[in-house]
Amino acid sequence: MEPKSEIDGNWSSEETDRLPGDGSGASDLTALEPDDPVLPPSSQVPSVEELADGVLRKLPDRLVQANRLASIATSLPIGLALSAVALGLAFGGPLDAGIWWIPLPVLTVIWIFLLFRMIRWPAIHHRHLSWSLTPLRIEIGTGVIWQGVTSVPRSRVQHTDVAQGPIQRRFGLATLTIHTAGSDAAQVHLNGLEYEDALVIRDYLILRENNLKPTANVDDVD
Amino acid sequence: MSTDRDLEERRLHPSSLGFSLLKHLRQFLAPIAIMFFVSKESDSWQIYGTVLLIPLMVYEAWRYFNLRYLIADGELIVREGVIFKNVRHVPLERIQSIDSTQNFLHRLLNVADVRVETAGNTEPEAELRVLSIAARDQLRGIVFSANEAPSPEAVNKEAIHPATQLSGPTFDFHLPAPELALLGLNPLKGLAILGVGLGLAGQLGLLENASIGGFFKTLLSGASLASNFAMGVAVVFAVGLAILLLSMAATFVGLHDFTLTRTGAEFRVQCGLFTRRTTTVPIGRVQYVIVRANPILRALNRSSIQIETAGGKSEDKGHTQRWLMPVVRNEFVPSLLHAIDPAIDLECVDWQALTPRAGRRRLFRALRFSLVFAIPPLFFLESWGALVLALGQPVVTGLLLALAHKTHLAIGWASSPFGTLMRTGVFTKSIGIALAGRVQAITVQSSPFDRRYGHATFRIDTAGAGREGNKVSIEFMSRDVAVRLRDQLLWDLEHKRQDDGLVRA
Repeated sequence: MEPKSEIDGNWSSEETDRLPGDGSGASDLTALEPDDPVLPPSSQVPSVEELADGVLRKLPDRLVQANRLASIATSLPIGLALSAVALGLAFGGPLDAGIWWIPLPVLTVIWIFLLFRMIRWPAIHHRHLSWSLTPLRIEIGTGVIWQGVTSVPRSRVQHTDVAQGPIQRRFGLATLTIHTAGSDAAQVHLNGLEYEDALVIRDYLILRENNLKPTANVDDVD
Repeated sequence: MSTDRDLEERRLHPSSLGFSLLKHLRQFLAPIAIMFFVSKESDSWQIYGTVLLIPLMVYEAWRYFNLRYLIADGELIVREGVIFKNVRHVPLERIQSIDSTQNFLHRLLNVADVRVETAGNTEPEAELRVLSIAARDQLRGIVFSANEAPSPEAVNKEAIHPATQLSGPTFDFHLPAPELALLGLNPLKGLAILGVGLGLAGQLGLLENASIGGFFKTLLSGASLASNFAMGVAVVFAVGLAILLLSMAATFVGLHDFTLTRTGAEFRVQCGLFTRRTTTVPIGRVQYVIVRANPILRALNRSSIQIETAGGKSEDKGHTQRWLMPVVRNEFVPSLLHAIDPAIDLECVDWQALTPRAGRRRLFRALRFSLVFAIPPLFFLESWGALVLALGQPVVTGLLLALAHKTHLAIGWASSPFGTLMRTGVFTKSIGIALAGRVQAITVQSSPFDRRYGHATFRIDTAGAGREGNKVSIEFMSRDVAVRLRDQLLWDLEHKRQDDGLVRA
């Protein structure tokens, strides 16, 4: 592609050059449109070329199970503790005879919320997670209510972390953290990648000098 | 390896010992005072105090003799530590700025508190407390490899903004005191202070009989205003005026004798009456530029210019805001911007407005907001609520709608060869410029309401993005426009290999 020399103030869409896999401007926001077709998560240990194709990818379905487990681990104790308090208040007798029943509907609402949080939410959350990698940048789409896509140019990646919690280890998943020199987006997280993918992406993002230039040349690297 | 960029190993100025002890003493002041008041008759607090201070003195002396700094092989090396030895290597080209602060005592002894800042750190990379002025200038000279500033005597302090002083590769400009007064006279600040004064007066019971309801009652009954109401108002205004004067005085003290010096590739800003603060910023490191003007400055055809750099994001006052020039006549703004980046030209910017749909959204929001004002009077319909509803509600709604419309018209953005620009503000107008290549990440985010309107919030993250208002963050932008702008910026970044200003070439 012919590099554009300069932008002027009133650029238009046909001037905007496209990166591979971009298609049109609208499809770039597919992270915001959960119904659009996306590739299923890769199943084997991937090569960099396979991953860095600019195609929007979902995270593995196992993430839903992993997040459910993590959510149960945090929400269930809270729910049980609140139940004990509410039942104690209702049947233990500290409240007046007229209002003894009030903790029960409150407890019901809390349990509906907690059950939703434990069972339904991880799936909804998973549906809105996406990422894509090109030789020039990584894009991460997150958020169910506030849906956002954060784009980090590879030349701005300072360093990357891959971390695995105990539940993630069990499911073979990992969290990729990208550090930039920025202020608000100084750390961009991608939670729930295949562990192998995370390692490949990590290495790809930090080995940037030899891949970044459009005219990449192995001889350029010392 | 060049010898002219090396510096042999050095210690801090000997008065450092005194200053660090003083710092500790200040921390101990409160406990010592408490001990003094608690143990009335005995002198035991003095003994405790000294017992606490002796190990501190020994520690500080030890620390002083252990701390050394030198420059070798293009790195600033600071060795320090008493028990845990610490050697810190800071590559010179990573240094964003060197700040130096001089309070009254520092100036008496001709020394300065020096902070060396790099990007991506909330704390200064090295804090050299304290260096002699000569040592500081030498350090600064080596780090930025720049000539020393021209002698200040050469500058005519009486002259107000001669154009020659603000252009060219070197200039040295002193801000005259009357110009500073303009900055202190911010009417919005005055209004906020008046509000605080009113609240205070209410708290102190000065407005006992001067409630709004009472006001209307006396007004409707035709009686003259109660004398204590007049008193209350007078007190409030006096308090407001006093605080306004105080804030003006604070501006005067903080920005006294504001001097902007340009020596080749760096800006040096000096200001302060008692505590003299010097900031040196390499021009290539500037991440974000803000040109701002409140109504008073605008009426007088003046603006203020702030710059944001990477690093130095500490909450310490005076370090979060970096003035390039607190007050400057509008005709000299272009030459100052030109000094930051020769490509900057605000005249040639093609401003893009938000869509009318975004304007309507803002109007609806204002309308919803104005309804909130109608709720409290509904509870007092019997007494004064009807009056407020009948007279006040249309006025409030009208004002809010007008404000929303003006806000919508004021917002603009532009993409230009020198960076991405954003224009906002009805009363205080500001233009922010995220310089080209400073992009670290771009976020396009949409809330449920955004999605209904096809809008998104477009944000550019730079290494110098500060609070809201000091970065590009455009609400209610059309989503496809936001996506296209993002692609455009990322494309430029990746194909032009633009420098992000964090490392000097």
